This record gives sequence, structure tokens and C-alpha cells, in this order.
Amino acid sequence: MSSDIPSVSRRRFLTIAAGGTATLLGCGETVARHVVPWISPPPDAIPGLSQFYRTVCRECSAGCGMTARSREGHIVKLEGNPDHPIGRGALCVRGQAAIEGLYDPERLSAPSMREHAGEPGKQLTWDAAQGALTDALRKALAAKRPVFVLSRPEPGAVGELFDAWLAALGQPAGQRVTFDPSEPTWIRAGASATFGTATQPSYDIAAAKLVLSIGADFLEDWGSPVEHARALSELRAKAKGGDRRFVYVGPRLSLTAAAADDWLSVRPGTEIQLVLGLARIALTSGGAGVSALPAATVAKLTQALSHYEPAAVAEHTGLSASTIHRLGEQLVHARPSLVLGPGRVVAGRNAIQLARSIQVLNVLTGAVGQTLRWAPPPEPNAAASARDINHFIETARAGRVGVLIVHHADPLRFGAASDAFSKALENVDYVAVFTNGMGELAQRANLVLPDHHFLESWSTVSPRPGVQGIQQPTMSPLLATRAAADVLVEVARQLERTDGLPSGTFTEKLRDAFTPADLQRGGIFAAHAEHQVALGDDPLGFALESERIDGPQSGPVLVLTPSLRHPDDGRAPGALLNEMSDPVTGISWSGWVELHPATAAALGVASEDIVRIELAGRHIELPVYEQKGLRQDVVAVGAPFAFGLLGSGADPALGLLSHVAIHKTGRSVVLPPGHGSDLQAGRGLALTEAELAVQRGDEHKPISMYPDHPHPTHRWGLAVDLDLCNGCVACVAACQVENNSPVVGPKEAARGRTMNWIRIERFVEGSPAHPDPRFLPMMCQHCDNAPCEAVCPVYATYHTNEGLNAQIYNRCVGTRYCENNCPYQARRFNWYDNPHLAPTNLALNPDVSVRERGVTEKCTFCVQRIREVKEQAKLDGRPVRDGEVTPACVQTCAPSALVFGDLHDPESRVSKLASDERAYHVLGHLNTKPGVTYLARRRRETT
Amino acid sequence: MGCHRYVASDTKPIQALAQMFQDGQAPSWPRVYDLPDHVYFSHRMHIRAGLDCAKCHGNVAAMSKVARVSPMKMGWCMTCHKERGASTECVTCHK
Repeated sequence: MSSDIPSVSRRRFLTIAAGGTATLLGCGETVARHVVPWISPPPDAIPGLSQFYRTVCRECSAGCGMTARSREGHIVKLEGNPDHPIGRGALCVRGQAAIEGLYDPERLSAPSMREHAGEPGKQLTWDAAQGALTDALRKALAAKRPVFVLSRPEPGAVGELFDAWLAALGQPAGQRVTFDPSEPTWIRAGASATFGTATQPSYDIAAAKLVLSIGADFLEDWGSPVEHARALSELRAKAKGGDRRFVYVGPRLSLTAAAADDWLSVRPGTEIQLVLGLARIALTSGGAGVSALPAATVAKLTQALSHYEPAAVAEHTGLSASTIHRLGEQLVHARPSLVLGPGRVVAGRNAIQLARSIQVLNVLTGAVGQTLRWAPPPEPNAAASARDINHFIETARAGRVGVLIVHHADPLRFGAASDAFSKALENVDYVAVFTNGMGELAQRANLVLPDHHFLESWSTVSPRPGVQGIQQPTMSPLLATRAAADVLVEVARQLERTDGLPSGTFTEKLRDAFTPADLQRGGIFAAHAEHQVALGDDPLGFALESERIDGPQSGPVLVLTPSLRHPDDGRAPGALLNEMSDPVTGISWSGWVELHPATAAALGVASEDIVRIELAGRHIELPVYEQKGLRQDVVAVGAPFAFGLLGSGADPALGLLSHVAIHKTGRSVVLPPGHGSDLQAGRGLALTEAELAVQRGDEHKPISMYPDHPHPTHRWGLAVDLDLCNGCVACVAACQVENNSPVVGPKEAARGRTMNWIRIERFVEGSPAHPDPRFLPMMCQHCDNAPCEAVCPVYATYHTNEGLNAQIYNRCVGTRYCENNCPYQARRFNWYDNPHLAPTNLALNPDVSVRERGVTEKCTFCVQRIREVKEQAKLDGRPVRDGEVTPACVQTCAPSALVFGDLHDPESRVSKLASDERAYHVLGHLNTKPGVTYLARRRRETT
Repeated sequence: MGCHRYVASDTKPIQALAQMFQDGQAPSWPRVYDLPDHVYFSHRMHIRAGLDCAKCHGNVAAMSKVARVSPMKMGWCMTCHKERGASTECVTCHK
């Protein structure tokens, strides 16, 4: 080296060589940036610290409590509200992903109007838009043309305002119609016939000794999935593999069925025979509820059930008579028991009769009043049944609707099923739509009024009596939107029709209606009176609908399945939700049709081949997924992907549709790999207690060449109870939002390049006749002997003194050696820069780096949350309490399958679980000494 | 507008600032101290540790124009952390 070259340090050399690339500058050498201060800062906002606001999730009608975390005036994370009885601190995958609706770049910000349907809309100012609505209403009132409001379920203040507003306009009652296409209306209709009370019951799953679900996928839809997941987990925790059981009857091994002890399937359409057969056993073998019935009712029931002895039922359903008998006896002796249903997958044209039969069975077994309770009628703001919607459609078709105000509802999204509504709409004089996005109905409306997002507006939500959740704004409106209720009140004022309406705005009225304590709690919760229900004189006095299912009898029966990943109302899911793997099949970004492997083989197709499904002249094309947990005479399609098959006027809530014809197309696609293999290939990853006992016998004592890490203060660890995990993927979405993980899109997802730090692996064990699905949440195991650490050439990954396997992004040079050496495949590599385009950048968590191209990343146990809790404990001068640190995945786990804490503290929950007799480490024989402990699934008994 | 309603309210720059506040315009300040986005820094923990503001920011009271007095490089941070026995774990500051 010549002596006239000045000596340059390595770092200085790199700085020069980079030619000013900001990312390579050391700390403190960044290009001077500017800061723009707030003119008037948001109240209470301290830069760098979080504020929490309690509100209610409006992604479905369950009404779970929600806590929104605000940083510097905008929401960065949504979590459950532990003080709210619904959800009790957890959210589902859809609730976690609700934040992307808030920052949706395509959200509408300005009102628009069109003279005639089909024209493109013209933007106008809010004053002009409110003026246009006022004019339309003034004309309608002058001409005595009726005004209707059609909305999503609004069980609370906004619904009451709609009623008051219609009354102020002099409209008769009954002109507010609620549209909830996923509402199992047959339960309410059934209860009306059985007990004379048309309300929804509440279920106490946790208290039951035997839960029997008749196609009710209560972990996926069916009312309140988070609440039910919590309850089922409590039942499992009480059972400890013992005297509490859950049996699922339905055509498909759904997520809910996978959580059951036993999955039984009957011939589609014959579920009612099974229920009546069980009712007969309950009646004749001393069901707890029989003695309280009047003799005349017993006589009627005895007569109605006389044909349903086990042998006859067995012939219809395809179950063995002994199984039916045993199940019946178990129902009678498990006190209390609970029969749930019917759910979408068994709801065909006999849905109401099936609901009535289940209700009678619950009376006979004594479940009513014990695990099944009715609230006193009338139920506030109940969803309209299909009948009410049909009544509205008839009214509109006859030209008896002047102005239709639509509020977050879109009945046009359901293919041909929308035909009647679509035609009726032609006879409505004026349609004004309050919405966040330009849906089908908005494109036909005269006036489109962008409403606030639910996280920006006021309401109350009472999904059942005794629960009044307060929906409060969690941030200032992002766009120039206006709250629908405020617009309606203002329009009424311009019409000088304000009787019974708030004197100021609706927003002001609600803002002043609650105490700070109510707002901090997130609602007003009180016990409520129970309504005693009694059977009518002849509760089963109906002629059974034919069990024959429509369509060409040679083909399989099409079943529409519920999904947590799709909004109930037919909206397309956002990108984040779309990239979440479907828990059952592992598929993302695409629809699919599930075929039994034998059905697929007979057709000459395999997974990823596209087939054409035909029904009455309509058809859809979808890729195949070979599903072992499916009856051979059934094909299953996620409900949103099958709307194209629905006939004119079909009820989109029904799931048991029709026989269909399936044809091979010869084309195929690549689906995202999702779960990977169905097989564990003898690796013993997701274990049951019995398998663990066998595996223990084979273990040898691991020897380490290096001393253990000291961990002087904490050793953070996670326990995953496989007995409780139901595979719902809420944790995956929670992690993605918390840790700024990008959505990579369908093309990259199909190459297996999704960036989520936690995934749910699913395996299917068992015989072809009895598939046994296992779910295994998999994230960085934070190994003591981490294979990744030893191979990093730049020391970007290392073991912290608290037991975390840390990744320092700006050190990482992207060799991917660590990824290659990780036996758990926990590490993800950024193949591209994933831009967070405005306004989605506002959702980024400021406590977590946004990684760039060429960097490896992985689960950190939410180190930012550990840091935050440790700092607070230090400021308070106290040790960190057990349970205080909750990583995002743990926080949102409805079944409480994930427990995080300090393994050094022998009293911590995680320590106790880590020394449980069911505890094991995945791939423990590699001597990686993981910080994540799995608890083997307990024994499940077949019926 | 807090202090400057009274302090030096007769000077041109402060009057310009007051005008911007009246107009609802936010001034764009060049940052004197800036850390890269991948660094976590908490003022309250450093104040709790008993550090004087001047330790990092210099004697601002004596500056007519605020200027940076410390390099804010990782090595500089680490020197102080080591001297004072504070955490030297990467994840204490790297986020």
C-alpha cells in the first residue's frame, strides 16, 4: 500500500464508499431532518407515550369490547377490552385487522351525487350534499312518500336515533330495516314457534358438561366467536381431559369441529332426524327437563317422536344406532348439557324446523334455564329476519318507498340473490348511502355520504340485555367525513322536524351522556332479568320438510362455510385479512373449493386444479383443495366465494344449498403454501399427551459444549397450550399489526414469502375415516442454544441477558445463514422494500423499526412491550409483575392458549406451565433449549 | 404560544412565529438532535438516572443559537452507558 493514501477507518471507508447513502451513516450522521410541531396538540397526548381509548369493535355484530392504542394522536393498534363482558380482552383476526379499514387509502372522503343510476358520481361539498338530501326528503314528505332506513345491525344509540329521526319525519314505525346477511335468523324464528318469544338466547358453554353442536361453527361465526372461544377454553380447562366433552355434528371438519372431542357427520339434510332421535331418548330415558312438562305436552311429544327410535334414525343419517343411543344417553346424564345450532353448514330449507327441534331437545335435557337463557323480550334492535327484508323489497317494488337512507349495508353484494332487491331499487325515488367505501349499492345511489370510520364516531352497542358497550371516537377524523347521525339530525333541523331529536348534534349528545368511569370501563354492564320460557302445547307439531336436497341428485351437495377472514356483509377483505392463512386450509388471497381426496381422484383433479361448479345455469370456477375432513358426498366453498351460485332471492345466510355438478377445467393455479405439509413425518411436533409419553421413553440426555447463558434478571418465556389453541390466527394478525410486518401480496405469498413472525402450522393425523387435525403456533423459540446466532457473520443476532434471541436490523447484511440454520423456520427475509403508502404509514408502530430490503427479521417476544413495562416498573420503583408483559399474540388469544412471563420467577404462570407434565419442546432433541414450551394436547374421547 | 407571549415578544423572529400561530401554520424546525429511526431513546429514563440536560445538550441557556454539542453516535452513547453501569444490551436502544 502506498504511503500517500491517508489512513481511513473501516467505518469511515464504508461511509465514503456509500456515497451518502443515509442508511449506511452511523448514528448521529443522518441528514438534518425537520420537525413540524402541533399547533394545538391532541389533548393528553405526550409524544412517545401511548394513550388508550375504549370502544366497541364493529367488524361484525358480536360487539366485542375494544381498546385502541393511540400514539401521537393516531391509532396504531387495536386490542380487546378486558373489562367488557364480550371478548374479555381478546379480539378475533377481523377485529385485529380493523385498523386497515381506518387507514384504507380508498376510503371515501367527499360526498358525491348522480342524477341517474349508472352515471359516474360528481363530488360536492358537504353543505351541498346535506342540501340535496334535505330537498329529496322535503319532496318526499310533501308527496307523502315514505322514508325508509336500511342499516347494518345498530343495537344502540345510532339505531335509536334512526327510529327517532323517522318518527320526527312523521314516518310510521317499522320503516327501519336491519340487514345482517350472516344472522342465523332461523333461531329467532324457531324460538318464536317453540316458546312464543322471538329473541336470541345466550349460551353458557363453559358451564356445560357436554356441548353438542349441530353444525354451529361458533368459533368462526354464529354470533360471537371470541366470547364462545373464551367459553370453550374454560370448558377445556375445567375438563382436564375428564368429564367435559364437546361433540360436533356437521359435514365438514371446520375450525370448530377440530376443537371438538369428536366429529360426527350425518347425511346432509338429515341432521333434524338425529336431533329428533336424541330428543326421543331424552324423553324416554329421563331427561332432566321432562318431569316439569305438562302431561299433555309429554303425550304430544311422545307421539311426534315415536318414529325416531335409534334404528330408524341410523337408517336416515348414516350413523350407527349404537352411536346415536350412546350420544343420547350422554346428553341425558351430562347435567347440564347444551345443544347448539343450527349453524350455517346444516341450515337448508328445514332450518327453522331444525332450530325448533334443537330447542325442544334443550328443554327435555334440562339445558334451558341452566346453560341456555333467554332475555326478556322485546329484544332491542334485533336484526330483521329474511321475512322483513322481503317485506321491504315488496314495499319498494310496489313503488311505496320515496327516500331510502342506507347506512353501512349492501344487499347488492350477493350475486343473483340480490336480484329482487336490485329490481326493487329501480322503483325507489331517491337513495342516499352512508358508507366508507364505494360498494355496489353506493354506485347506484343518488347521493353517497362518507361516514366516519367506527373508530372515529360515537354510538352504543348492546348485543344483548345488560351489556351496553360505548363506541367512542379514538382519534380525530382522518378525512373530511361526517358522522351519519349528525348529518341526519342537521337535515331534520333544516326540514324543521326536530321533535324528539337532540337539540345539538348527536355527537355532542353522546359525548355528554357518560361519566369518565363509564368511558374508561368501555361501557355499562349490569345483570339482567332472565325470561322464563315454556314450551307451547304442541312444540313439534310440524310436518317434516323433505330431506331431499335440490339440484341434480347425482352430484355432491354444496355446503357454504363460514369464515373469520371475510366480513359478514359481503365486503371484500382488506389486504391484511386477505393475506392471513385460512385456519382450516392454509389458503390466502384466493377462494377455493374443498373436495374429499376420493372425490378429487374420481374427477381426476388434485389440489390447485381449477374446477367449474355448476348450479341451475350459474357457475363459478375455483381451485381445488383436497380436504380429508369432509364427507365424500359434500363439496365445501367459503360462503363469499359462492355468491355467484346463489339463485334469485336466495337467503345468503343458508349454507346447505343444493346438489351441484363439478367439471374439470384442465387449468390450475399456485396457491400460497399456507400450512405446508399435512404430515408431521414422525417429527413429533404437535403432540398429544399419549404421544408425549411414548416420545419421553426415547429421549437421551443432551450434552452441551458451552455453558448456559446466565440470565441474571429475567428469562422471558412463552408457554403454548395445544389443548386450548384452536388455530384461529388472531395472533398472526395481532403480531403483524404490532410489529409493522408488511403485507406482501398474492404473488409473493404464493412463493412462501409472507412476513408474519408467528404462523399456525396445521397437521392432520389419524386415519382417513377419522382425521385428527392439530394446530401448532410457531414463532421464534428464543433458544438458549440458538443455531442462528452461531452462524451470523456480523453479530446481528445474539442472545440477550434476559433470554431473548435479538435481531439488530441495521447490523444485518442479509446473508440468510441464520434463516438456513433455524430448525423452526422462524426467520423471514425482506426480499423487497415494502412501502407503507400514505395514509397506511399512520398505522405503523413507532416503537418498532420498519425493516428494509435485504434484512432478516423474526419474533422478538415484542421486545418493545418488555422495554415499556420494565421502564414503568423502574419509574414506579417496583419489580415487574407476572402477566404485566403481554406480547401482541398473547394479548389477543381468546382461548388463553398463550402465556408469557419470566421463567426465573418460580411463581409465574409460565414457569408453572413450563414444568407441567404435559410440557415439551418442539424438536427438543436438537438441544436448542427453547424459551417456548408447548403443552401436549389432552386426551380426546370419541363418541 | 406559551412563554413567547411575554419573552422577547418585541423581536421580529418571535413576531413572525406569533403570526404563524395565529394563521394556524406550523413552523418547520430543522432538528438539532436527531437519532436514526431504528434507535429507541427515552428522555424520562435519562432524567430518572439523574443526568443533567447539559450533559448531552450543552449549556443551552448560554447559546444565542442552539447548536449540537455531542456527536450522538453509538460509541458516544456506549461510553457513557459503560461509565455509569447502564445497560449495554443492543435491544435497550435498537428497536
